[in-house]
Formats: sequence, C-alpha cells, structure tokens
Amino acid sequence: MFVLIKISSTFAKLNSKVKSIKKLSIILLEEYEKVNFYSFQFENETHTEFENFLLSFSESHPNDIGTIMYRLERIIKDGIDERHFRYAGQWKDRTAELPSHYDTANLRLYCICVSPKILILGNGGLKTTPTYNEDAYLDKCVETLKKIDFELRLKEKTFKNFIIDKNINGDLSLSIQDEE
Amino acid sequence: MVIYRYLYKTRNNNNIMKRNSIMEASRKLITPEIKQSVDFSIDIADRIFDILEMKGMKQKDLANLLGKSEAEISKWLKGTHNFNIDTILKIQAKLGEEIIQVVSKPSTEVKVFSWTARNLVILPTKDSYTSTSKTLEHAA
Repeated sequence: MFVLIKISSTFAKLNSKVKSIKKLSIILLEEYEKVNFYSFQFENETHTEFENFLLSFSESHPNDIGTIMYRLERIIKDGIDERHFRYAGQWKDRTAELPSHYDTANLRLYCICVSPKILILGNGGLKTTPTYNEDAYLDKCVETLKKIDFELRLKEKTFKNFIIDKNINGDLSLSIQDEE
Repeated sequence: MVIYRYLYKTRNNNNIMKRNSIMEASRKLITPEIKQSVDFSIDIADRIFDILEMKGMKQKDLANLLGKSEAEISKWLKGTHNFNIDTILKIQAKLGEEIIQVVSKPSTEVKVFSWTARNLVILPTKDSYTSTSKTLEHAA
C-alpha cells in the first residue's frame, strides 16, 4: 500500500513538472548570400521570439540593440563563425550566446548556430547574475533553444533534405514540452 | 500567412531576398561609433586568431605563453573583449607579430613597433614610397 502511494506521488510530481506541450514554427526572417536568419514563433503569438527581443529592448537599450544588429551585419558579411559566440548550453547542443559587446554590456541574445550558414535567433535579456542558469527567465530562453535544437536534430536525422545549404526545408512546425 | 506578415521582399543581385521590418527598424540604432567599435574589436580578435593559425598555434599555447587560462583566450577571440594597450603589447611580444599599427604623424611616417625583432621600423608613406625604409635599433 505504502509503495503504491509512493509511486503515485512520484508520477504526480512528474506530471506537475510538465505543464504543457507548446507548438511553434521555425520562420525565415531574412536571407542573404552567405547566411539565412531564422527565428521561431509560438502558436497564438503575433511575433517571433527574436522580434519580441527587439521590441522589448530597442527603446530601453538602444546601444546594445544597435551593437547586436551590427554584429549580425558582420555575420551577413563574413558568415557564421562559432568562435564569435559563447556556448550557452552544453557542448552537445548548438545553443550559443551573442553578447552585445565588451564584457560590461549585459544584454544577451541566445541563438542556435545550426550550420555556418544558418542562424536561429531566439530571445534573451539582461544578465544580472553571474551565470544565465541563476536567472529563471534567461534559463528558460536557453532551455527552449536546447529543446528546439534537439527536435531539429531529430528532423535532420529523419529527413534527408531537411537542411540544404542555408535553407531549412519541409515541415517547420515543432512541439516542445514547456516545464515549470 | 503568419510567416509573411512581417516580411517584405527586396531585389538584390537578381535574387529575391527576404527582409524583416522589425529588424530593419532596429538597424537604425546602429551608429557610426557602434560600427567602429565592433569592427575594431572583431578585427583585433580575428588578427590574433589568424596569427595563431599562421604559426600553427592553439589557444592553449597562447594561454601558456601569457600565463592565462584557455577560457580567457577563447573569450578574447570572440571579438567582444575591451583590450587595453598593455595586453595588446604583451600578445604582440609573445606572438612576435604586430596586431595594431599606429600612425603617429600623418603624412610623414608609419611607426611599427616590433617586440620580437626589438626594432623600430619606419615605413615610408605613399609620398615617399620610392625612398628606402630605415630600420633603427631599439634600445631594449
């Protein structure tokens, strides 16, 4: 009896952790000769996450946004070099951080370096803690990207032509677990 | 439908390239100062990276030469580090290559300080390009 209660409470805890399944679409934002910029948009949202990031910080942090946009301009010109990013997730995923500038600037943009020609721009925010993991919002931004990267890798393995050159092809809708 | 809501198309090199209106609006926040600062930072990082590659060195080798951690060198090579003059001079000295050239007197001479050769090399300007460049011994 005690064992059954213990097992059922464990399942209840697991179920309460998984809040919902979130549906999203990978969306092509801009295309250039060397690179394509993508972002993702959650179901029932009006903007992609990168658009939300720009809209949230353009007025309050114009210099940081200007700097991030110019770093993207350099990527348009030079291509995507992983050296210019900081790993934000783990070595096994492709989640990275694009810092606005110098080590004193606090605005961080998180993204997925899918290939030297494909960059998926996510969301981000002001880093006020030593590591992003200590900030619930930034941690969620990175965790979301890690889940998207995992789903993309599955699609890459399943569908032969899912990624060709600088394009992501086929069904670009994904579902990820949204945990509390 | 949603995909195209915030996108518009522009013609470039006979290809139709997509642009995003919110990104375009945010580009207006790029000032000449931002451009100069980002370009300079990335160019310095790229120059150090190129020297390492040219010499067949790894980030770890430079870290050992400077007594720094590999993580710090990796951070420097991202093009977001605010280098100070002393750090630049130390990197130049250890790598034996110039990273930055300073024009001290416009329209006269470009002075390049080389720690490796311990020489002060005065390069001719365009006007005096035909004249021979001089190499002066640097008093160490």
